Amino acid sequence: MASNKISERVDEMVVVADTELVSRSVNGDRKAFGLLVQRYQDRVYNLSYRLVGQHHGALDLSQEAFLKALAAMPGFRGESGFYTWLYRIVLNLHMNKERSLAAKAARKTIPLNPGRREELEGNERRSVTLEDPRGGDPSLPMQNEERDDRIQAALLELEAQHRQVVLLCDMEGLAYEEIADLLEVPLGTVKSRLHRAREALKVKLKGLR
Amino acid sequence: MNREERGMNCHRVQELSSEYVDDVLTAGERARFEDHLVRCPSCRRELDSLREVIAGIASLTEIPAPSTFCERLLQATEGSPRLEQPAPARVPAEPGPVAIFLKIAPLAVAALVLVTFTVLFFFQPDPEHWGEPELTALLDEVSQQEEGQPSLEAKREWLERRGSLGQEPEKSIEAELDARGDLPADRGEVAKNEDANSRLKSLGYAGKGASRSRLARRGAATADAESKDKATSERQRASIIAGKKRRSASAGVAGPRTAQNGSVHLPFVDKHPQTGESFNLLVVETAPESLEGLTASFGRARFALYRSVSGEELGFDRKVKNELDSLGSEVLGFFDFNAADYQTTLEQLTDLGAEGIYAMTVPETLVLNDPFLGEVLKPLEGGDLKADWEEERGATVTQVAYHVVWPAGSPKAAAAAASAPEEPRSVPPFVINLGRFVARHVPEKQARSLPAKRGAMHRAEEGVELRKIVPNNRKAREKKPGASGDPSEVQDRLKPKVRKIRVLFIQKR
Repeated sequence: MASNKISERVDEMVVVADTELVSRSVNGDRKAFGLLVQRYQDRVYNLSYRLVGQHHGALDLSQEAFLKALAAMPGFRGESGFYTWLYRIVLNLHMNKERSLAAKAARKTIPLNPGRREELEGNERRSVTLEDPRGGDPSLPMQNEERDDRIQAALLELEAQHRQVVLLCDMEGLAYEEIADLLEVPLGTVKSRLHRAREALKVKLKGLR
Repeated sequence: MNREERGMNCHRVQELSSEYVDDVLTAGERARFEDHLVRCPSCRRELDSLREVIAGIASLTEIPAPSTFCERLLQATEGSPRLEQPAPARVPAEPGPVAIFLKIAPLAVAALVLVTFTVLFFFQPDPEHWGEPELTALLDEVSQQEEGQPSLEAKREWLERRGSLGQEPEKSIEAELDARGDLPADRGEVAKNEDANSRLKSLGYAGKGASRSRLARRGAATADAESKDKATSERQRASIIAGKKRRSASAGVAGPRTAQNGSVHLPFVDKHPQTGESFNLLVVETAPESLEGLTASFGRARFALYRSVSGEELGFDRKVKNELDSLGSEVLGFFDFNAADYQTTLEQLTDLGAEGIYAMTVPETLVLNDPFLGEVLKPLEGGDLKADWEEERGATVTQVAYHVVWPAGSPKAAAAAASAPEEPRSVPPFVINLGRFVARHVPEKQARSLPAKRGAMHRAEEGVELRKIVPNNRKAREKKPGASGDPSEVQDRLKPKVRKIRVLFIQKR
C-alpha cells in the first residue's frame, strides 16, 4: 500500500501547528486563516479538480470547503488532523453537489474534446469520449496531457462515491483505513467501492500506457 | 478441504485483485492468489491492466490552485464575523426573529397540535395507566378537530389573543419548571444545558406537549372565543393527563433511571448564546399516520426509515438501499417526502412499519453550521436519547442522525424551493442526507476500534449533532412485559410496537 502522501507533505509543511492556526483563526486572526489556506489550497484544489473535472467547479468546491471550514472551526476539536477534517468537508460538499446535480439530471462536464462528446441518456450531461486518441495504435506514445484528459474523463464517468475512493487511494495514496475514516464507511465498503471503481476504469481505459 | 485451501478461481482472483495490488491480502490469500496467477495468463493480463490504471491515476498531473486563490478567498471572508471580530455578537438577519416567528407560528401551532396528538394517542408507553373515559373524550375531540381543520385565520386570531387566553397554561408550565429549580439566565452554556437536561428529565415530555398542544388546539378551535370554561376544563384535563403521564413514566419499564428521571425527551433550550433567541427542542415519537399532518405543516422533508426487524425485501430506491445494506445497515427505504405526494409515501411508511425517523427544523435565523446547534443537541449525547434507545428498546446506539428542514413558509424554505424545487441547494445544505449517517450498523468489534468521537467532523461541518443508531427492537420486545392484559381496542391502538416514528424538531418558542 502506498504510504500516506498527505501526511508526508503535511509533515514537511507544518511549521506552525495547524491547531495553533485554527485557534487563531477562530479568534479572528485573518493572517492565520490565510496561512492555513496557503498550506492546503493546492491539495484541496487538486482533489477538487479531479473530483469535478473542471476549473470552475473545482474553484467553487475548494473555496466553499475553506469557507465552510472557517465557519465550522469553533467546532473543530482537533481529534483528527486539520487536513483530514478539511478533506472530509471537501468530500461531503462534493457528494452533496453530486446528489443535487443528479437530482436535477443536469450534470455537465467541460468537454475536453468537444468534437467527440456525446449525449448520455437524453439529458444534458455530456461526456468526453473515452476512445483512445491514438486511434487504437498502442505503439504511439500518448502525450501526458491526452492521457490525463482520458483518465479524467473516465473518472467522471464513475459514480461520485467510487470516484472519491479511487482518487483518495490511488492519487492521494491514503490507506484503506484512512479512507474509511474520512468517508465514515466500513472498511469493506471502501474495498468494494475501490474494486468496482478500478474495474470500471480498467474497461474505460483499455490500452492506456 | 475447504474452499480457501483449494485455491482460487478466476472470479475470486478478480475480486481480490485490488487488494492484491494494494498489498493488503493476508499471506495465505496472497500465496493462493499468486499460485493462480502463475497458472492463468488471462488473470495476469487483467492484473496488468489494473496496475496500468492505478499507475495512470497516480501519475495524474497535480493541478495547483490559482495563484490568486488565497487572496480571493480572504476577500470573500471580508465582513465575515469570524474574521472581523473575535467572539462576534450575531445580529439577527432581516426579517427579524419576531417577524419570522409570526410567520411560522401558525405552522408551529399546527405542528404542535399534530405532534401532541401523536404523543397522546400513539406513544404513551404505559397506556394501561390511562383511563378509558379520558381516552374516549380525547378521541372524540380529535375527531372533531380533524373534521374541521382550523383555518389560518383562526390561528392568527389565536395568536393575537394568545396573551389573554394562552398565558395560564404557559404559566403553569413555567411554574412547574420553577418549582423544579429554574436557574438564572446568566449561567454558562454547559450549566444551561445541564440545567435544561435536568429539567427535561424531571418533566415528562408528553405532559409538556399535552399542555402546549392543548393550548394550541384550544386556540385554534375556539377562534370564536366562545368558551372560557371549556378551555379551563381542557387545561384541567391536560393537566390530569400530564400528571398521569408523569406517573406512568415513573412506573415505566426502563428501570430505576427512568423511574427517577421521568420518561424524558423534551430537551429544552432556553436561549441562543449569541442571538438570545429562545427555542424548544422537541423529540416526539409518532406513528406514520401522523406524518401527514407534520408534512403538511413542515413541507418538504426527507426521511430515512429504519427498523430493527429486517428481512423484508423492499423496492424503493434499491440502489441506495443496496449501498446501505453493504454498510450493514437496516435502512429500509428513502423518501423524498412532500405534501404533494405524501399519501403514497405514507402508505409505504405504513407498510414498512417504520420504527424511527428523526427530523429537525431550525428557525430561520439559525445558521446551519452554527456550532450552537451542536450545543442544542448536546444534552442528548450519551444521555437521554441514547439511553432511551439502548435501555428501553435494546438498541445499540452509536450515532443519531438529525435531519434539518426549514419550516415551510419561511423565506429560506421558499427561496430554496423556488431555486431548485427538486433538490434545493443552499450553502450550507439545508437537507442533510441521512443515508450515510443513519442506521449504520457498526459491528461491536469495529465500534471498539473507532475513535471516541467519530462524528465530530460531521458535527463540525454540518453544525448538527450526528450519531448513529442501530435499533434492535427484538431485545426490547423480549424484555418488555406485555401490556396490562386488557386487550381493548383503544389500548392496542396506543401501543404501536413497530410503527414508531420519532420526529425531532426545534421550534421557536
